[in-house]
Amino acid sequence: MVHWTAEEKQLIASIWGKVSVEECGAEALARLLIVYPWTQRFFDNFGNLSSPTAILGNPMVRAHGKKVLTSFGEAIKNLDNLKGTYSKLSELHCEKLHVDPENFRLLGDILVIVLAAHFGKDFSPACQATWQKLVGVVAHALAHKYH
Amino acid sequence: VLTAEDKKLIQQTWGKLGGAEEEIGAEALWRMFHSYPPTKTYFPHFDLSQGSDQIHGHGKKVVAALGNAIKNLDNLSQALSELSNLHAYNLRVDPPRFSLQFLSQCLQVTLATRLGKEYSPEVHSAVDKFMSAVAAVLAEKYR
Repeated sequence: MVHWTAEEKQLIASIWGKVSVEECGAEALARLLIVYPWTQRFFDNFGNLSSPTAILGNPMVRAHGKKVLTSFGEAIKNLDNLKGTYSKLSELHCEKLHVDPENFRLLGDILVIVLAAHFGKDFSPACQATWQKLVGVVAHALAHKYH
Repeated sequence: VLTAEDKKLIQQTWGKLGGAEEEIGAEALWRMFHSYPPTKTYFPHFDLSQGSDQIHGHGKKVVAALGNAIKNLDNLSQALSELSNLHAYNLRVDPPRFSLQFLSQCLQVTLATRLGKEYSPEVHSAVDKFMSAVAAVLAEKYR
């Protein structure tokens, strides 16, 4: 089980409290599709992904980004049981969606960059370290049920 | 592959740093040591406390090398040749495709905190590709 210090929990909560799940989720997913274009392979039915502008404006991308980050919010409420929280989602990503877990790491890193751009100097090194740890354990939990 | 547009964005972005390059280098390193503690194993001879002169000095070196690479985007292999030798034969840092991703992430976070919205998805993409290209050149001579 992952151990979180009081300071880490505070750094997570203070950032999360100010995040717009819809905006941030949309931004993070769009950047994944832009920066790592091969990830578009999972979204063939999303319509126009032909340029950064198209991706950023695509309503399906925005909606899905919101879904993904809402789920992330669940993780934050359940820091002491991430594997349990993500058990079903992990099975889904393996058995139905066939997503290589490496993509969870990529999205996690992108989320950190989105937060950095949003929060500027407030996204201190200590803050980044805590969030890198968080996205790492979330990625791990999502990969846990792969077989 | 770095497109002409990527190269333009990278050069423009670097141009926006307004002399803060050294600070940025030091901050990126500090963030890397903090977020990825195993990277400290390459610096047992350094004072790694916050604000250390050695971190600052090394950050300055790293950023100068990147700045040089940015002036030579059409010939990265040659521009980074000395550094490639150094990393492969002397420093033997775990193949850059592992370690450099941590430096790349922390450099990008540092840039994003300073540039905010200007660190757009297109800029993000260009910088990420650039750092990957640098890592590939540094890894060329490993074996």
